Amino acid sequence: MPDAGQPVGYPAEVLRDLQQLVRDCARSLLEQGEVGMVIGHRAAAPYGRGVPAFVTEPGEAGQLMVGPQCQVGIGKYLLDQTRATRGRVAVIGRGCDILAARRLIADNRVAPDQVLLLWVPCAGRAVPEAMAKGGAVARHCLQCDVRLPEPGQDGIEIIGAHLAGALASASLVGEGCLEATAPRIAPAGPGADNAGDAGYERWSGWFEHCLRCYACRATCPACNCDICVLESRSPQWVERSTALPQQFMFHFIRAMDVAGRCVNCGECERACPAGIPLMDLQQLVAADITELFGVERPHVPGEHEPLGIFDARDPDPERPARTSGGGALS
Amino acid sequence: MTTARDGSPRRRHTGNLSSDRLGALARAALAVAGPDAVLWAPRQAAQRWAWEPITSPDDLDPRTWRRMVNTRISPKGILLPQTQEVFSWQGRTPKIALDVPPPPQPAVILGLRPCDAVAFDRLDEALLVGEWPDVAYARARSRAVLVTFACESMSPECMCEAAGLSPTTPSGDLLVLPAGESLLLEALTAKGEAVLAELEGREPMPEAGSLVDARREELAGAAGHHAPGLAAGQDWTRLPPADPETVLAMFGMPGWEELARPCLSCGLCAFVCPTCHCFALTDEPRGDTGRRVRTWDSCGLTDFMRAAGGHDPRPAKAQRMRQRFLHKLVYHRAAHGSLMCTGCGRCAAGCPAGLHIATAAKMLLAAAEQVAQDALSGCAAPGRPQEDPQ
Repeated sequence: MPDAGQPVGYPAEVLRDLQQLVRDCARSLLEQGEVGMVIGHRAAAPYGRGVPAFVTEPGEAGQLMVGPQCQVGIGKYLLDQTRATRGRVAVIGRGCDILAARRLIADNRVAPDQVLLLWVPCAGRAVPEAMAKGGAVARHCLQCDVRLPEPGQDGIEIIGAHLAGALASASLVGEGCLEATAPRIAPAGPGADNAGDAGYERWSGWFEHCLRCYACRATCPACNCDICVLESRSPQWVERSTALPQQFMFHFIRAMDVAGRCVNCGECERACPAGIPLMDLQQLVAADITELFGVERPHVPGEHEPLGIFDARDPDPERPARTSGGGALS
Repeated sequence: MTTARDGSPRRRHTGNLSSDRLGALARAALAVAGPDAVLWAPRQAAQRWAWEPITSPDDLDPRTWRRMVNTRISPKGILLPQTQEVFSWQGRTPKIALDVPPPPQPAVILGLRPCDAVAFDRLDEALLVGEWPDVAYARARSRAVLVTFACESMSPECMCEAAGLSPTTPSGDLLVLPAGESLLLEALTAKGEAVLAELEGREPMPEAGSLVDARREELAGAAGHHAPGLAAGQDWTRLPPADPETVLAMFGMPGWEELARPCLSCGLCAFVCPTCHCFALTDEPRGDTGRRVRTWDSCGLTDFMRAAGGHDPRPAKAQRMRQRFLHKLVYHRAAHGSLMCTGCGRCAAGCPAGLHIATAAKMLLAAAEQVAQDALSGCAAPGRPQEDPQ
């Protein structure tokens, strides 16, 4: 069990060096006028958790922090801030933040020349409830494949590349993690029984706790519409009452709207006050995309996005000739 | 003789119950609430504490509640459901039949934390005071029995002291102070009296007046329930009364824009809040039948204020957030004398953007202080036109 306040995964000296690099970088970008704003994280109560920081003065760069406490995804803020800021906006973030920013670019919601992306290596985000006990890595971080920066990408710079090695070997799972990341009702992921009556049972059990607070939609970088079909009051496409049929409508519309565009950041699941394992829905879709279209990493925006393109040669899982299409909710 | 929370004069009524007899307390409360009453209590499911209907009161174990600081979602939905049918209809003009749903079963809410029990008082102020009480809430509330459990532990999210409360604030109908293997009980209302009398009929137990006082002092002294950034004793009830000048200063604070920057305009804060009570009314037609429902709503959501014709007086998120925090900390207090925040901390813990009501409260305190200072220095400033030119 790690000591209270001892971040899981990050060796202390790596964290310190990384933090210094981030602050120096933000300061010099602002000093040289390269960008008008740097979006990162700063510490706030309770827990000293990392909340979004919008830094516009070089003198404020010292408040930036990195580490497992930085739970809030910051990529989506580009949507507002590129419109409100003079000059480019930099995001100093982890792999998931970078993918979120790339999502907005790929969806033509943010112009690539308005942003500067700086990718910091990561050893996982903490679970909020476990932070007081010393931290535990969020469930979706265990499946993350963008923890370490990938060099050679247009418009993306890497901070702390030389420290990535130290984080690569850091264990994401400390002893304190196991409790917080244990499956919650049924086993998580595409392997769980999501089809037929068992699938209905499983998801009914979750959706009946949904508060329809729209936190999943608000945090999702792929949910970037100005007017949301789920929130629209007039016309009202989805009724506001929280009976099960409406809950299924709400969650399936959302899952299908972001299908093929989900960046696997886990923000929906982190934000959900009812603890619904929303990433499971996205992973079912991602598994299908991989299986049907051969896309290895469907969560990486800007590469081949088969659901965004019509192609007459697309596979049809309903056709008996094909045997693929497992995993889907039926 | 003393005065109860509901204003009725009474003698002090306390009791000392063994903690393995919680089931008996639950049954006594159910007997008082009525034959078809439903018992609600916190239960740990999927690693989170949630309010659930309990069918076997004897299985309740108050010792497990020591691990619980509070439930993830507030109990307000038990008396003010997220989705509530107002009426249903059948037929077409001119032959339409309307039907009103039956009243809800009475509820016994057992294991409330003081912040959540006090929240029902705040809801009463908002929904029951005045000429047009909320009929559905009034019906549910008048039949409910609230049994409050004082807090023995706290989380970093707790800030009841900032809201002028404490882990032992007398609230609900009956206050329970856990003390080792005992549950020290004190009736706070006529309903609480009835529960205690009913319980004594089933389980003879000694009076516990002095034990109650000692334990209350002990638990209230557990420090650290104040909000981040505030020292002990520096609570939000020190916000000044809402005179027009101060309210305008708070309304016009330059900080709202910056404070709201991380806000994602979701409704989480309002939906987990034990005192937020705004709702929407919508129709759900199904051919020749249908129903009108009211559902929880939030002033933080886009379009909350959009009127017929499309005008929205609060199109920017900074405006919506200002409304929320001023309603919590200033407006409700001006109308009813109490803060609309009970310091449960759910909004701050749950906010996906990491926003904290304490940050807003601190800004409001500073703005109010500035108004007070300006008033003072304004009087003394040289060159100010004299009232009396002689």
